[in-house]
Amino acid sequence: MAVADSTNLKIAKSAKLAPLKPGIAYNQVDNAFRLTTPENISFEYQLAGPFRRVFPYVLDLLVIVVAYAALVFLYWLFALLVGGLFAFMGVFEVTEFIVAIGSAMGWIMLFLAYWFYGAYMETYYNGRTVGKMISNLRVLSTDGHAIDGVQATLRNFFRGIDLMPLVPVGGLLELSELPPQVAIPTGVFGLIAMSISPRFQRLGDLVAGTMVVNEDDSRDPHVQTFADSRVPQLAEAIPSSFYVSNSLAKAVAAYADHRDQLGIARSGEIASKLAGKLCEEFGLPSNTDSDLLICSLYYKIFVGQAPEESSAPDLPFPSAPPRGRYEPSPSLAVMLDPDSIDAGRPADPIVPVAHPIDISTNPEHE
Amino acid sequence: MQFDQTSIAIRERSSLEIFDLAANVLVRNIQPIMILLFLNAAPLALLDYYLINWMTDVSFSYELSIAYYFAMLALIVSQAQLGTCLITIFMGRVMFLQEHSIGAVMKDFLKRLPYFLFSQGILRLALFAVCAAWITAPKDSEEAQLLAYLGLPAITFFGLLVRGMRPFVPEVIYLEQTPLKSKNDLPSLSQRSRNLHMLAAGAISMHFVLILIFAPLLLFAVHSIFVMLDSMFSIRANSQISLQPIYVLFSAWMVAGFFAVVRFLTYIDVRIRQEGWSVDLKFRVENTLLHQSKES
Repeated sequence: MAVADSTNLKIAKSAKLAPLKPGIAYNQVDNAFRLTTPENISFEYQLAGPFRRVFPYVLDLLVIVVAYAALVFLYWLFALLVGGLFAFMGVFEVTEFIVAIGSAMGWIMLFLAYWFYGAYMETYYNGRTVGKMISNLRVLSTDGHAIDGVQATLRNFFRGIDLMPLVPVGGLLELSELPPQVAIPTGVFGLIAMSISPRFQRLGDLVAGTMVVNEDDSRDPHVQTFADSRVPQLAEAIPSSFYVSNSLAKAVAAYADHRDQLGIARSGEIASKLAGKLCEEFGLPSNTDSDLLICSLYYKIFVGQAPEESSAPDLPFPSAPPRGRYEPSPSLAVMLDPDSIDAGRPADPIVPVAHPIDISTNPEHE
Repeated sequence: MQFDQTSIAIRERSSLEIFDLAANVLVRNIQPIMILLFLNAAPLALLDYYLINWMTDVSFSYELSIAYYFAMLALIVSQAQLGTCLITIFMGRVMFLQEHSIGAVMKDFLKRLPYFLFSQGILRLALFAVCAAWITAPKDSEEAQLLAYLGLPAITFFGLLVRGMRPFVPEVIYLEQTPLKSKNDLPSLSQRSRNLHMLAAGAISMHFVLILIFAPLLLFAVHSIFVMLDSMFSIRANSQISLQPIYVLFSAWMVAGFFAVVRFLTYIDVRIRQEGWSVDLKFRVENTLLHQSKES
């Protein structure tokens, strides 16, 4: 029992983030983070934790190694040509000088690339390195703004500590001739820091006040089409005065996105949890097919808005602000301000309850 | 099921997000998870240590001490799910906000023990691996090396193959309370397991690949912590060689404990996707909001 109490206490204490869903009082563990701007606009970020950040880091290391190898190769060609020419002329001092300069430059370049590649890329490419670009990650300030040069430099300088402890290769493979500086980073310090932090911040992130977010929108719902001709007809029956909140629009979009995978019975069961209340709101008969009703509401919210668009565009859900102060796009503003969902459309008359279409069953869904 | 009454938010996640979340969940529940891991894995670890400890005698044969690590890791891999059943039960209780004291978890474990032993010990060959180690030990160097490099890895491989294809059996046994034989319209354990895993082949493959990538890295990282602490407390540059087998043993079981949490969260994610839990939750919330707005 003592364990149970202490565990609950820990969850309650460590869960500093606001619950993400209305109606949920319990502080849930999640890898999402909601940020509310001074303009009272909320953004939900998917945070990137230790395991998600391993592959971008490895990719960045590869970029550094490849770039360094390319530079070394180019210099080697230069040294071969120029040094060889001077050696041919018998001026060996110049050849030796070129080799010495090359060696020194090589070490300096390696140092600069390792320590400043991340800082440079994150400063000038809006919180992204090559690895992060490929993995759809971005570094942001904890207040949601783009990071500046100081933050980028700080978080990259502290990477050295995050990668500790180092395991000497000589000790590991029992090769006494290898110096102790040749070591493999384990990253345990960073792993522990990220696991403890509610925003998955490693030590460098904590010092610089940054966090890494995931910008992969491939799982966002896309506009769905319905073969059932009754869907647009029933959509017309939905009163235009009905208040469609942002969360309701998201819920309906999520349903439309999932209904094909769920199967008829399960999707009908889920739809019925909202359909009853919606039927009351819309003044529709209580035996209206739940799935058809939710699809019609979806059509009314998303498809009916832009009937001229033939291709299916991405839904205008808010995503992470790209940089600086965030200004919502017009489509996003529609989503953020539910009152404006029907703005600009002719006011539909409230369709009487008696409909010429049969809405009690949905043949598409059978 | 009350999807809004969970300690972990119901949402669809990618495989790497699940790993990240597992790290967070593990840290938040580190104390009970470590206690339960100890209670569950300690008997198995002691048994393994008793059976193959003789291989660590460096004076007998240096090659044999390396064979010990192979044998021990093979045994731990084959027993990983059996040795983390308590964590699965604990996670189930934590997830759905039930009482998760050690007593409650142990009670549930004892109730389902025959199921766990059958599915993990026999079908996943964990007990066969122990038997193989018992038959060989303590024998001469050649037989030990044969066991360590061929026998145990082969048994572990076949066990892992079965487990890799159907990893969520402990979760099905505990959370779904599925009977071994079908009765009263309830599917049997095998039927339910087949249905669940067939539909989640993609997630399971990704889960398996990521475990193959991260398990050695985590083992190395956790082991380095033990070595570092040893060096710090014993004030010497290199850790004590005699304690290395213990460190590897502890590290491997800790990694197995972490992957039990990952497996549980992957199972939950599979159910969320297959049964639309996240949509269900959203609709319940919207229904409540509509009800509230009408009342106000």
